[in-house]
Amino acid sequence: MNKQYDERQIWLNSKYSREALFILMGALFLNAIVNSFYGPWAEPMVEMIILVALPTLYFLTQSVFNDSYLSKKESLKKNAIYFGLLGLLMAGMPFVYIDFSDFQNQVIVNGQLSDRLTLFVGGTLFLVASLVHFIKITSSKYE
Amino acid sequence: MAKNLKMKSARVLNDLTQEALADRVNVTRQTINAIEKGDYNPTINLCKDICRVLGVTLNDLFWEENDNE
Repeated sequence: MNKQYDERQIWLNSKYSREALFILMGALFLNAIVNSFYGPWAEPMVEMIILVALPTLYFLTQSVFNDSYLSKKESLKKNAIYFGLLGLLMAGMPFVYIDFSDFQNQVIVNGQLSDRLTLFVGGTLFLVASLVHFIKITSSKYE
Repeated sequence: MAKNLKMKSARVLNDLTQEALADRVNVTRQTINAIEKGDYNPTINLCKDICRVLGVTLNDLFWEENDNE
C-alpha cells in the first residue's frame, strides 16, 4: 500500500488521471483530424509537448486544488519555487537562440510552429504549474 | 452526502484539532475535513482508526438513523 498518500488522495488521483487520459485521447483525436484535413500545424516535438501539456495541466490543477497532489511531507511552497525556477530556466533559454522579433522565420516555419519552441512551451508548462501552486497557497490562507 | 457532525463533536470533545486527529490516523488534514463536511466517504479501516482515536464505536460516528424509523 502507498503510505505516502492517504486513501482520499489515492482515490482522487486515480479519478483525475483517468480524466486526464480521456483529455489526452481527445486531444490526439482532434490533432489527427486537423493533421488529416488541414495538414501539420506544428513540427513533431513541439506538437508532442503541447498535446502532453493539456492533460498534465488538467491533472495538476485538479489535484493541487483538491489537496491530493502532495503527500503530508511535501510542501506546496517548495514545489511552487522549484517549478517556477525550472520554468524560468527552460522558457528563458530559447531567448538566447530565437529572435522573437523575426517571428515569421524563427517561430513559424513553413506555416508550422517550429521545434525551436519546444523548450519555451515546456518551460511555460512549468511556470503555469508554479502559478497553480501559488494560487492554491493564497486561496488556502482564506479557507 | 450529509455533514458528519457526530465526528466533529467527538473530535472537539477529545480536544483534538483536525490536524492532530489527521496525524493520529495518518491521513492529511484535508481528508478529515472532507469526512466532516460529508465530501468523502472513508473506508472501513479509516473509520475504525478514527473511532479508536476518539474512543467511540463505529455506530456512534457513522451510523445514520433513518428519520422515519
